[in-house]
Order: sequence, then C-alpha cells, then structure tokens
Amino acid sequence: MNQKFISKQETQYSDDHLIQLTTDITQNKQIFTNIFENCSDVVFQSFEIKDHTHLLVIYIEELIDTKHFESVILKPLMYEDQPNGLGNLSSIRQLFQEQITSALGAKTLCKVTDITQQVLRGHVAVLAQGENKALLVNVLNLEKRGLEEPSSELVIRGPKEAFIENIASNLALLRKRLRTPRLKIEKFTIGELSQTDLAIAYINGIATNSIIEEVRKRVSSIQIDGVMESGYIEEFIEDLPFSPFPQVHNTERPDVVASMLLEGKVAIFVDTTPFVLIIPMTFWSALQSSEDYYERFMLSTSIRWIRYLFLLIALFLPSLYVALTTYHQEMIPTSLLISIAIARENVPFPALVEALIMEIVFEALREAGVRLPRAVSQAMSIVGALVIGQAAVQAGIVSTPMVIVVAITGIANFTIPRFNFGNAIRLLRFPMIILAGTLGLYGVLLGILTLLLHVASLRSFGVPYFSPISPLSLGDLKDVVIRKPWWAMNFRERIIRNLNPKRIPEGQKPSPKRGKDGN
Amino acid sequence: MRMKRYLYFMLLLFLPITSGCWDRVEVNDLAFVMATSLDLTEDGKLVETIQTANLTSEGQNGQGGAGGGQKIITMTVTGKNNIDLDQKEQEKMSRKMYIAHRSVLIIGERLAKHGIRDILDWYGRNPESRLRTYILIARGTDGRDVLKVAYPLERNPAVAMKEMEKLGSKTSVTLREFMMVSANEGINPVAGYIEPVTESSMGLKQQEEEQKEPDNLMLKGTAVFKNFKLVGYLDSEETGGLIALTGKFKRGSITAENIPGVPGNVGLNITKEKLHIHPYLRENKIKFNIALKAEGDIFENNTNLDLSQPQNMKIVQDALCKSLEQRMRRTLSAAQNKFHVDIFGFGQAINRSNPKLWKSLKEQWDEKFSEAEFSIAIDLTVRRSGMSGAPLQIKEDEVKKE
Repeated sequence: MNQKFISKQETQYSDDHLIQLTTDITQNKQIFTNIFENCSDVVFQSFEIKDHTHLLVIYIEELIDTKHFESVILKPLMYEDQPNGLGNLSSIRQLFQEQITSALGAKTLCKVTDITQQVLRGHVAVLAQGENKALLVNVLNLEKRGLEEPSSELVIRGPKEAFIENIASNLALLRKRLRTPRLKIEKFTIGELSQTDLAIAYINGIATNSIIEEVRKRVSSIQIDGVMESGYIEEFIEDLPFSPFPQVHNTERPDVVASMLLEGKVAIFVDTTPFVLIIPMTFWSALQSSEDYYERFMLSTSIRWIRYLFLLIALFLPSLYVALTTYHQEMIPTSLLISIAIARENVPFPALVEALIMEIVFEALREAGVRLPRAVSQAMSIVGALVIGQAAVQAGIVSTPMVIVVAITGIANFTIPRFNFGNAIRLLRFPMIILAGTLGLYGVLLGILTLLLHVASLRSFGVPYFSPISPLSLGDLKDVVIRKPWWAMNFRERIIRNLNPKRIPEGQKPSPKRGKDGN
Repeated sequence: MRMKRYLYFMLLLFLPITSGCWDRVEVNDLAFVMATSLDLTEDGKLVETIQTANLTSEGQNGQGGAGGGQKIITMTVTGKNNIDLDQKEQEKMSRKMYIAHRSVLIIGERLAKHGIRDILDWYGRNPESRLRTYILIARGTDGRDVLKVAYPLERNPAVAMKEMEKLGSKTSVTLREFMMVSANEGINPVAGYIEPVTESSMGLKQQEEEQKEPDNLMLKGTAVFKNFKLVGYLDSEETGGLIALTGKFKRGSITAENIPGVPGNVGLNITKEKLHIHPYLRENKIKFNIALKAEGDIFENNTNLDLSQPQNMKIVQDALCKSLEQRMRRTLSAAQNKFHVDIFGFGQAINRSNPKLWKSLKEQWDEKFSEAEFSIAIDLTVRRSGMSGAPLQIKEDEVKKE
C-alpha cells in the first residue's frame, strides 16, 4: 500500500524529474509556467539588461524580502555596470559573490525540480538566455511570531522564552544555550508535499552513536505527504504505538532541550511547530519539571514526592473509592463510612455509574475549557461549577464524596508536569474505574499489575521506560527519588548509556572552609 | 485473522462485567450494625438485639441541623443460635445487615452466668464479623437494656462504649483477646462490664428517680470468667490492680492516703509501667516475685508538703507505692479467695520459666493458684510534680519543707 502511494506521487513529478534546463529561455519559462500553473503567488518577471541578455526571475512574492531582493538582485543587474562577456550564468554568480556580499547562499542549479523546490522555499531563481543553469539567491523572509512565554510549561523561576514555529529561530535558541561545535545539527526534509525541514540535534561525545543512528534511521524512513506538527513524527518513531504512555518527550522550552542534550539525549526539531521532540523518554522524566533544577534541591525533592503521590491519586483514587464503597465497606473507618452512606442515601445510581458520570462530565468540562474562546470559558466554568458542584448534589443525583473524589483527581492530574503523560493517566483512569466497579480491589490490583507489566516492558529507543526503578540503577536514583544538588550530580544517567558519564567534577560542595583554602 | 483478534479482545472486555459484580452492594443498601447484645431468656432461648445506625434520619439531621428522628434503630429477635438469630433479624430489614462495623458485643448477665462457650464460634468463623469487637458484660441486667440507653455524648451508645473501652483506663477486652486467652493455659479470660446508670437524678425525689429510665452508661470494672462462665466482678479499684498486675497500666491514677505524719492525700497519674513476674518453688509452695517499675506525674497534693523537696517526695513516693501495692493485693486476694481463678496469667509465667513444673501443676492450677504467695516490689518514679511544689493556696509558714 505504501509502495503504491509513493509511485503515484512520483508519476506526478516524473516529467520534470529528470529535466534539465535548456539554453533557451522561452522554453525554460514554458517549463516553469507549466509547473506553477494556477499558482498565483508565483511571480515570473522577464527583463533585459544592457547587453540585451534576456533574464527571467522567478519567485514567490509573499515569501521573500522585496527590498532585499531589489538591492541584491535587481539593482546590480539592471543599473550597475556589468563586466564584459556576460556569457554564462556562472559569471553572474561570480559577480554576485565578489561584489554584492549581501547575497548569501547563492548557488547555481540546473535541475528543474531542484529549482522549483528552492523557489518554493523562498529563493529567487534567476535564469538567463543561453544558459542551462539558474542562479538561486536566498532572500527568504517569513512572517514569524515573536518569542513568548511557554504556554504549556510554565515556571516561576527559569527562562521564560519558548520555541516558535520557525525551525531556524528554534535552532538559534538552542545554539544560544550550547555554544560548542560539539552541538551537532543534522538536517532532513520530510513530507512528499510539505517538504518540511527537520533537524536532529545532539552533543557529539555525549550522546551514544547507536541512539543517534537509530534516530537517523527512523526519521529518514518516514514516508508521508505532509508534516504539520512534531506529533506526526512522534507517532512514526515511537517504539510501541499501542501504549497510552508517550515514549517521546516533547517540550517548547529551549532550556529543557539543552539540558536533555547534556544528559546524552537527542532532540528532533520540526519546522512549523514550537514543540521539539526529545528521545529517549522515561516514565520518571515525565514527572520532572525544569523548575526542579532551578529551585533549591530540598524543595524540589519534596515537590517531586508530592507529584508521585498525586500521580497515584490521579490514577487510583476514583477506582479505590468505587471499589471500597461497593465491595469492601469493612475497610473504611466506621464514621467515614457512615458519612459516605448518608451522603449516598438519595443517589439513584450505583457508585460505578456515579463515578463514570462525574469523570466524564469533568473531562467534558476540561475539554470544553481548552477549546472555547477565552471570553466564553469563564461563563462555562461558572455553569460547570454551579451545576456540578452544587445543583447535582442538592438534587441528589450525585453524592458529595464523589464530587470531592473527582475534584481531587482532577487537581492531581494537573500536578503532572508533562501534559501528554497526564493525558495517559487521565485515560487509564477509566478502565481502572470499570475494573474497580466490577471486580473490586481485586480488579484494581489486576489493573495495577497490568500497568506495571506494561510500563516495565516498555522501551523508548532501547532505554527501559521505567528505569532507573526497573531495571534498578541505584546511581540514577539521585534524580528520581531525590533531586541531588548540582554539585553532587557528578555522573550522567547511566541508563541512557552515554559516552561520557562524568558530568560535574566532585568536591565542589560549597562551605565556608573552601573559600579560605582557595585564598 | 485480524478481525478474530479484535473479537477476542472485545470478549475479554466483557469478561469483568459478566463475571464480576456478583457481590457488589452499595453503601446505601447496607444496614450498619453498631452493637449486638445477646441474652438468655428464662426458658433458655437466645435473644439478640442489634442496633443499627439510622442513616436516613441522620442525613436529614446533618443537613437541617435541628434534631428530630431517631439516630439508631434497635431490633430484637429470639432464636436458637447465631445464624438463626441473624436470619430473623434480616427478615425485619430492607437493607443487608452488615456487621463488619460492629464495635461492641454485649452479653447479658444471665447468659454470661450460663456460659458463653457455645455462642462464640460464629463470631470467629463469619468473615464479616470483626474480632476487634469489644466484648462487654451487662452487669445485673440484660444486654438489650444497655442498648436502650440513649447515651447523650455520642451518636449512639455503641460508639460510646467503644470509645470508653479505647480510653484504656478500665478492662478492655476484644473478642480476639477473649478467645486467645480462653485457648491458653494458665490464664482465664476477663471482660469489661457496663452498667446503665441514671444521671439526672439530682434534685429529683426518691420516687421520681426510681421511675426515671437510665440515661447514661458506666464502664466500671471487670467481669471474671471461669470455664466460660461468669463467676463474679472486680470493682473499679480491683480492676486497677488487675491492670497493674497484667502490665497494662498506661493510664490511671492512684491516691496515697495515710502518709506517715502528714494529713491529707496525694494523687498520681501513672504514665508508664513495666512488670516482671518471677515464679519459684520453695518448700513445696509456689511463690511469685512481682517487680513493678512505674512512672507517673503527681496531679494532686492535698498535704502541706513541698514536693519540690526531695525528702518530701520520698515520703510521698513510699506512700504511693504502698497504696498501689494495697490495691494489687486486694485484687489478688479477690481472685484467690473469692473466685479461685487465675486471671493474671501467673500460670503462663510458670509455664514459660519452668514447663516441667507447670505440667505437674496444670491440672489443679486453680487450687494451687489460690494458695500461692506473692511478694510485691514496686519501684515508682515520679517524673513531674506539677506546676507547684506545695499547694499554692496555703500560707508560707504552713508549708512543710523538711
């Protein structure tokens, strides 16, 4: 099926694929007008210069910087003195290179497809009568958004700039943080029609070759018509598609990318999206926020434990509530049980149905809140809070404890720093509730076992997903169980198997004594 | 092939729904039994009274704030054995009777005297029944009369009794402890006893008082069992001795009167106790050395002694030790002379230190125990003497410093 799809694509281009430019400019023009038929944004401009050489300029008006185009191409060609013997285009190119330094990235091409491609990327193609080559000058000028605060990963302390939809700017943001020639950036083009730029970034000498090689292999084997977001790439390169857990990290924070590259991971930048992919990803990295590393380590450690606690709550609280109140009433303290029973007195539904109704309504509220225009969302949240929080309880449709459980679960879910990981937990809650409502604690335990088995067997680019807990790597627990202070983070994570495990030289623990010795 | 796999997967999804759920029951379909009482009628039939929390009225109370409606429902049935009684109780209820949250089992005096050996099995066998349920004897009355009392301080009398037992200043015995002790050699079980009392008798004439229903409960002392039969009671004071002699004295007070040369009394709260029993045989007589180490704080001083002075403290300590010893001896003599039953576990102590000797004593332990002799050594440390040395209200020259 794939094979068919590609061959179809190829036939569309097969005519021009092998075609070289002719020396006749009218014929060349004909080729391009055929290619760009009904492309109203493509401009063909013919003119003559002093020696009566016919020139043809092809460009896309919206993609280029017109002023730059004029000063770099039009003016030198039309008004300034030309050297004699403008016989072929390579001399024009020479001229550009020698005299007009502002024309960077100029090159000559002779294949029609290549020229077409470059024009579509914002180059200006200059063709001349009697030449079977075209000069291409990069005068690309894209409208782009300014740097803004990250919208999905907010921090209180830490850099406040986020990636934008332009790959070049994004790579610059990364380079700003890692000013070393060892930061390697390899470019790929993906998407038969979209021709999207994609870049793999890693630090030479830290990231393992096997992982880099694997990323190259997986990325370059992607065959797709267009790439709109890095999510497309993610689904092509992950290890196990049938898993609720994300196996590729995504972030819109340049500092996160830089710090992960320092740990020996590999980043994948995709043009037209602010979200950068990082591999490999582990279960625990989903529970780490970049701010953990900027704040004091004691605080970060305790915050991490709160996250672990609330991860469990987000995943198991509704199911435990359902299991305990419908099967194991003996496990609830007497007075609590009586309170629950009183609250449930008028509720017509079984606890399972009640939990599902409430969870689904909560999810609906959440989804509506994300998609709604900002102006309307406030009205909706009031309606949601009033209807569910009060009216439903007063009407006896749901019980207060269930509202509390769902609310705590909702809050708990928001404590997970990785949004897509939180979504996995959000999704898994439902089978857990159903298991709890049908099999009681036995079902909950079955669910936990299944989840553990799944997570422990999952791998992200060869790195066990649940590491360093399983397989246990004691040294790596320094960044999971606690967040060691920076001067004690002496080694890189062993589980990623990086080339250079040593990270920070030992003996840098600050103390009043050290200053004296130093002086 | 692929379709088939999806089909199997779908079938798997239905599995929990079809096989599960069978024992699912919502909390609002349960009747929570808070307390049970068992009595024996004069013609030898078992009477069970259960008390369940009435959630419907509590719900209204909880929201409306104002009182009204009954908080508990009491039901009584007569039957042959526990299963029979249960069945009959269930026939009266629209909700499933749920006994896992029962906190007390009250045995009426007549049944206790008749013997409770044959009714206990169900309590250990039924998985829903909790062994942590406290067992209490209703002194001088039937268990159902205790359950009738509308206890004022708690939601229902069952909670009240449970909390009283939990405070731990009196004998508190759970079903588990009762059964374990019964199954052991060299010790006999006891249980707390409870009495309905009339509280609001102040200002009432004698006649009115008699008519008034009891409105409070009192956890007073200890019921002593021998061969699963109630043989008598230890009063409040003797219960204190029993607690001290079983090493459970974590809370409770002793008062020293008769302090040599000083009028008045001193009260002490015990906070810690360590007990060591050393049995030995001398001239064919069983003797026990009881060494008791205790700590406590003085909470009341009605003498003119300045307790910040060590020599005064010494006098008080000695008096307190004597008082505690007296109390223990009173309990011992009650057990030895009145009931002829070892409720302290002295037999166990012999068994542990000299199993051979125990084998020869085992058969007639009750008699041997009654003849045993005890020497008691108390080491009492007063940790704190409160906020003042001498009582604050007496004049300086009245205070005895030395």
